[in-house]
Amino acid sequence: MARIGIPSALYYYTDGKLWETFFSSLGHTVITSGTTDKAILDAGVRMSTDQTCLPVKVFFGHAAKLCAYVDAIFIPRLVSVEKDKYICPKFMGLPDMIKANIPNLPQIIAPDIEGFTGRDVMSGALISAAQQLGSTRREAAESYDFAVRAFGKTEPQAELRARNFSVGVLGHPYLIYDNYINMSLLKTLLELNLNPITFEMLGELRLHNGMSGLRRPIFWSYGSRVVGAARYLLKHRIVDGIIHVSSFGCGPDSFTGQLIADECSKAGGIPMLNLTLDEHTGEAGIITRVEAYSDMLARRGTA
Amino acid sequence: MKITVAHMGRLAQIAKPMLEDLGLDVVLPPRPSQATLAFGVKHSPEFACLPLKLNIGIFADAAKTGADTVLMAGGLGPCRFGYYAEVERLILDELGFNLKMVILEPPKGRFQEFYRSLRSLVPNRSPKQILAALIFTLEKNRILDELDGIVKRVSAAEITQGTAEAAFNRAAAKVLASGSYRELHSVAQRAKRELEAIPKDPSLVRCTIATVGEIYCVLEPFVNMDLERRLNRFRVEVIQTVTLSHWIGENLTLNPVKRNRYRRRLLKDASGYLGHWVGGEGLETVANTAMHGRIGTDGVIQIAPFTCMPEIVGQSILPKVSKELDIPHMSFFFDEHASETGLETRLEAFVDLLSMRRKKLRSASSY
Repeated sequence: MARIGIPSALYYYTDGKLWETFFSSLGHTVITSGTTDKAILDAGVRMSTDQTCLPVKVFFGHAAKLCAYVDAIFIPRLVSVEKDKYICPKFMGLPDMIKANIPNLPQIIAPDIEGFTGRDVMSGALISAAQQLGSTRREAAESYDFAVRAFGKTEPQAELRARNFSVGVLGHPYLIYDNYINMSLLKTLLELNLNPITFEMLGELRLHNGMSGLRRPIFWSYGSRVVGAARYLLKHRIVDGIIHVSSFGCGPDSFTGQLIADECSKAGGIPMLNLTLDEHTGEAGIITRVEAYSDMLARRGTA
Repeated sequence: MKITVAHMGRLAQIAKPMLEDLGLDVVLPPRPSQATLAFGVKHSPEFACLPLKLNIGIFADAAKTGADTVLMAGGLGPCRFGYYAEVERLILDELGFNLKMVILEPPKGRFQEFYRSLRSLVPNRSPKQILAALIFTLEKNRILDELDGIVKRVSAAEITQGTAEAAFNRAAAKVLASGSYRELHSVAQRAKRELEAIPKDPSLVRCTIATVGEIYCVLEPFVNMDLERRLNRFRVEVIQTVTLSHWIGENLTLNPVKRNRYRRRLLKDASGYLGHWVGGEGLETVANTAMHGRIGTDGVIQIAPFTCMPEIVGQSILPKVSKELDIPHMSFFFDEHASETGLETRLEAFVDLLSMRRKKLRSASSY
C-alpha cells in the first residue's frame, strides 16, 4: 500500500474529499498538503512563470511540499467534468506543467478526465488510477461507489431568503475558501455582519436556473456557476450586493466579472465589488475595500 | 446591411472580395491605430486578452465608417475567444453602437450550423455558389501564405533589402483581384519564380528562427509590431508555424481522419512535454518548438497576448524543451503597454545570441 499525496489546492476544494475517501478505502495512506502558508506560496511563485494565475502558483507550492513525504502524487488531468464545458486550459496542462518545473518528483498519477461529451468519467479515471497502484478493477469500483455515497453531490439545504446585507461572494472555490490567499475574506465579511452566499450554497438546480436564458452558454464549469449564481441571486432579490472574487490573470474571471457587472447594473444598480487577488495582495488592502463596501451597503439600506 | 470583419493579418482583405462576390455590402475598418487600441482598452475588462480589447476598438472604427453588422467566428472553449462575441456585444451595445453580430460557429463535425449561419447572411445564393466562393477564397489565402513563407526566407538573404517584400505586395494585389483559378495559379507561378530569382547571398543570413504562439498575435502586425519583418531586416530567416491557411486547414476541416492525424502528429512531437490539447495553440507551441529543436533550427520565438491561458501553459513547459533539445527560445507576451523599443532591444539581443551560437556550432563541426 502506498503513500498518495493530494495537493490541497484547485479542484481539491470541489472533489478532494471524494478522492481522499476513495484512495484510503483501498488501503493507501492519503497525505494532503494542508492549508496554504507563506512557504507554500513562495515555493509556488518561484517554480512557476510569472503570468501563471495565483491559484495555479499555489498548487505548485502544495505539490512541491508533498514530494518528500509520498510515493506518488495524484494530479488528474481535468480536461472536462461535464457536458460541453471545460474548467480552464491550465487544468488541462497541469500535470505537464508540474513535471516540467518541479524537481525530484515522485510518481505522478494523472488520469485523463474527459467529460466533454457528457459521459461520467470521474469513476473511470479514479479506477484506472487505482489499478496503476495495484488494485483490481472490482476493488476500485467498490471503493468508488463508497466514496460517492459518502461525498457525492447532494443538494445543499441552504435557506436563501433575503436577509439584511446578504452579499453574493462569487468566484472559484479555491479562491474563496483559501484563507491565506484571500486574507480571511469570509471571516472579515462575517465580522462586518454581512451574510456571504457562495455559489455552492445555491445547489445545482438553482444554478442551472440562473444559467438558463443566457444568450450563449458559458463553457467554463466554475465560470458558468459564478454567473448563474449572480443571475439567480439578483433575479430573486436575495442579495444587496455582489463581491466578485477573481485572480490576477485569470482568463474566465476577466469575462465573468464583466458579465456580472452587466447583470448588476441591469438589476437596478446593485453594487458590485471586484476583488482581484495576486501574490502581492496585502491584508490591509482587502480589508479596507471590504469595509468601505460594507459601509456603502449600510448607507444604501436594504435590498 | 453593411457588413464588417475584424482585422487579423490579411483576413479582412481576403474576406472582402468573397463576401462582395456573394452580394454583400462590405465596409472594412481602417487598419488599427494607437487610438483604436486606446479606445478598446478603455472600454474592455482590464484582464481581457489583447485581441478582445483591440477588436472592440476595431469594431467601433468600423461602426464609425458605416458598418451595422459584424461577421465573426464563435468557439467552444476553453480559450476565451469562444465568448468574445457575447462580451463584445455587451460592451458595444452599452456604448450605443447598435451593431448586429453574426457568429459563424466552428464546424467541428456540425457543418450544418456553420453553413446555416453563412446561409442566413446570403439567402439569395445557392449552396453551390456559397461553397464555390468559400473554396476559391481559401485557395487565394493558401497561395498568399505560401508566397509569404518564401518572402520570410528570401528576405534574410536578399542583397537589396526590401525587394522580396515589394514583390510580394505586387503579387498579393493580383492574387486578391484574380477572378478565376487559371488566373490565380498563373499569378502564383510568376510570383514564386520572381521571388526565387531575387539576387541573394546565403552568407548574409545570420540565423533561422521559428515563430510559435497564439494565432491572433502571430498574424496581426499591429499587435506584434511587425516582429517577423523586423527579424527579416536583422537578416534572420523566419519560419512561421502558425498561418491562417494552416489553421483553417487543420481546425475547420470536415475530414475527421485528417483532424485526428494532425492532433496525433502534435502529440507525438510534444511527447514528454505536453500530453494533451489545451485549447488555443498551446499544444502547437510546445510541439512545434520540440520539432524545430530536433531539426536544428537556431531558435524559437513565442508570441502571445498577456494572460493567454494556453500560451501560459506553453510558456511554463518551453524551458524544459529548450534545455533538453538544445534550442534557445524567447517569449514575447504583448499587452497595451508593449513598446517598440523594448521589443527591438530584446529581439536584437536574441538574434545576436543565436548568430554567435550558430557560428560556433558550425565552425566546431568543420575540420
